[in-house]
Amino acid sequence: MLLSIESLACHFPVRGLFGRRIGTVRALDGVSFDVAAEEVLGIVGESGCGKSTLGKALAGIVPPAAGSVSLAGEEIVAPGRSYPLAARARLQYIYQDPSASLDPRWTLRRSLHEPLIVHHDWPQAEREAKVRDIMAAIGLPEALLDRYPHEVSGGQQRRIGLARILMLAPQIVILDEPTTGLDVSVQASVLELLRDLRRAFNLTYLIISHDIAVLSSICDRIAVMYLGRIVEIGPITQILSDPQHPYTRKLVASSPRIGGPRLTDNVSLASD
Amino acid sequence: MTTPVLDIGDLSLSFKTDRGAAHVLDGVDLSIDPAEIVGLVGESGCGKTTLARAILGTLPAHQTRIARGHMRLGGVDMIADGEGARHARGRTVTFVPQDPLLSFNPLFRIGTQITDLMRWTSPAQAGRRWGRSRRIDEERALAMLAAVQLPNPREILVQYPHQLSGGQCQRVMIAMALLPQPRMIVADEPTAALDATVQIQVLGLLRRVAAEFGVAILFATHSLGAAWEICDRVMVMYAGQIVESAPRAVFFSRPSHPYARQLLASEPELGRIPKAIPGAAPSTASLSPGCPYEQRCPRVTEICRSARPPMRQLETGHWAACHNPWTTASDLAHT
Amino acid sequence: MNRLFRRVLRDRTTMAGLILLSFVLLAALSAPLLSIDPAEVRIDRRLMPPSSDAWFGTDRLGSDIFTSIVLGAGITLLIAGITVAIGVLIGVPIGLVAGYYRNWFSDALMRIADIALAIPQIVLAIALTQAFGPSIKSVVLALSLTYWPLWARLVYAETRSIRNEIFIESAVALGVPARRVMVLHILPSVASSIVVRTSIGVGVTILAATTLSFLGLGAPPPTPEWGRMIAESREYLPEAWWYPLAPGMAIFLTVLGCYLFGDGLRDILDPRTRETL
Repeated sequence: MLLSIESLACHFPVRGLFGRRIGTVRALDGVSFDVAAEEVLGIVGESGCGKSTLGKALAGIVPPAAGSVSLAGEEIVAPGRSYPLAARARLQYIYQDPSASLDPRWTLRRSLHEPLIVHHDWPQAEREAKVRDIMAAIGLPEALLDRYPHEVSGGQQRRIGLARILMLAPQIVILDEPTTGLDVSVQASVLELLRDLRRAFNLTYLIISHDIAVLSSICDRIAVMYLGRIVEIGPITQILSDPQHPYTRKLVASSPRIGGPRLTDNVSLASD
Repeated sequence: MTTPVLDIGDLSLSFKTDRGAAHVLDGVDLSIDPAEIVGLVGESGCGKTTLARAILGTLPAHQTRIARGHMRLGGVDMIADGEGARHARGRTVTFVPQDPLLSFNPLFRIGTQITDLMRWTSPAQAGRRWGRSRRIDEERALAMLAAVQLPNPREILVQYPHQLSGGQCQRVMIAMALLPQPRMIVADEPTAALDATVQIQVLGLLRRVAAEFGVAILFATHSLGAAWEICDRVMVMYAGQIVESAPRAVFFSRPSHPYARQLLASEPELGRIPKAIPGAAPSTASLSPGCPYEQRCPRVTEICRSARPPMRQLETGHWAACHNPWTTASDLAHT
Repeated sequence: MNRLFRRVLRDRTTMAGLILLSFVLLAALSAPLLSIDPAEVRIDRRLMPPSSDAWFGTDRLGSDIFTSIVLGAGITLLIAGITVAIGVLIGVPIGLVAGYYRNWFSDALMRIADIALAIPQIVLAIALTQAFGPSIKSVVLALSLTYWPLWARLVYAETRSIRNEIFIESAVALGVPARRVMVLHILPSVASSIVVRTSIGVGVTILAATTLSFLGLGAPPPTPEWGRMIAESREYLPEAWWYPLAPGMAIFLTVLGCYLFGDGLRDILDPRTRETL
């Protein structure tokens, strides 16, 4: 198993008057699962289910209240433990649009050099060579390197944003809502790009999304989250055809299928 | 043949930009019958929101130029008759926006906002704030909130917008859109900001509303799934032009315009990574004289580059603006 | 940089400020070239109104006021320059650190800034002149110790808002050390605000410095400091009307130049209207 998560929990304090802690939000409430090497695992759930917190906890952005996470056998997340720098190279996290991770004031070349500067001691020439390699691997001309993010197209920005994390040859990439807010054809190009990169770099993906249709097109397995817990996990075809948990059933029943029966024909209309 | 609620013919609008005139709407023909739900499908920048705003009268006046065309709503000429148009907006046609939370004033209770709206749009009770008319307003509001399936209308009236969930907010918005007894509702991506389970409920509500209140709905969306669910007819927009118009079943089983086909092919499905459409939509400020889709079209021919295709009827009720449209369903497999 | 230069040249407000300031700068730079000794006393020429000999008249010691103004320009710019430099060097790092880490330490730093800002400059200046005697040093110390919070608070507010941007969060997720994030990512984004505030800050400092000198807390005579010249002129009013006029106008025009330059720069650097520079 590449990634092992054991009873992971994240709590956020609720503060009242004068900042006194009056309660706790259990954003993550004891989550356990494994991710195998080179698989694509989807995490689906609606707003507030904790999927984003899960992604951030795995990436070391949000500290855990309990539980642990191990990457290739080595523990990387545990209460009180600081997130090891080496793990930040092997496990990468992207929130929504990869191009948003680019500093708008830096040239693209500089943004690509930065991960190498932070993690390795390589001389400038070696870094430059690696940058050129990656640019070739993602299919972008080197001439773009001297431009600023706003001077290239949205699709190219996305590629560069992804290239930036590929500089460190990560093993696993967590993508948090990679297609949200995008037009359907742009969404398709993002999914195609993710597939191509996975093949080229032997990546493992953990994709977090509220859109079960998007996940169904690219994931091998899927985990359904509700109120901070995983309620069901399994191969995508099985979950979609034979959901067990009532919430999973509700979720699957809420995804329109073009050409199939209309869900609005017999939806119970009582409000949430 | 019923008279359509909305009748738009050859509507062409341009915006003044520093790159010249952008033809944001070009030769748009559209008509909606009572109780009909028409889906306006397209991606960002295609003009669907512009069309919605043109109907609602919220386009910036000094920047917009109406080049030609007519727009009649419930018999009122919305372009020539300024007074009539102003009266119609908010009464004959109402609006359900994408993000309900942003449309509410966070400082006032829901009840206050509803009754204020009623005062503005119901001429019979205009001007009188206190007394019997206020109670009547509240009773009507409560009845409408119940009609949109909100389980505790009295509680909702005294709450503030941030206390409601997204789905509840949207139901209130729909109720507010129904109170003036409009003949048409313009809904611009009303479910885009909602969770999947709530989305399907609100879509179902819109269908019921059209059927029970006899109100026509113009439903602008980029989600083909949502269009499949509730639309009676689908119209596809690209670069400010309507490129295909067909009844729901016909559209989804045998779309003719190459863009419509490719759009359907880019929907994600179980186990299949969808095919992206290469290239990007052209800017409406620099359109070629031919078909706007010619740069990305897999079926492009010589005439496509020079002559703009007119809307041609392919079968009853099915129109497409294409020189070389797909003609059979079997071709679907080859897109 | 080129684009910035061209936009400055095209903007009337900024250019007006720049022109005023260049006069002052010219005066300050040419001071050592003048061969007039300000300490020279010419009793026979005291308190004379403006004439072809003395453009702004002469003061109580007979010195040419015009020359004094020119010499005073350098002093004024020196005081303002050092004060602002100290303010930036102390305030910007404090603001950066306090804005980056959102913990008790940040709060403590900002409270110290509040306290420093609340100290009445005049009282502090009086205390310092007791220790060091009235001098330029006292003025600079009194002002820089109480003005640095202006930069700290500005940088703190901007750092806090930029801190939440996705590209900063992703840098942190990448493992970029805090120091590097602050200096290489956040600082360039707040730089334009700092420049605008500094420009206006120079104007504010000049006003405060001349006020302190007016009160006798600055450099003693015969140093031709503008504020002190106005103080001297008081007992000769209303007859010697030219005496306070020249230094007063000099202060006014210099400060106006700073403000115009700063305001114009703010509009040019507004991220909503400019392209990336």
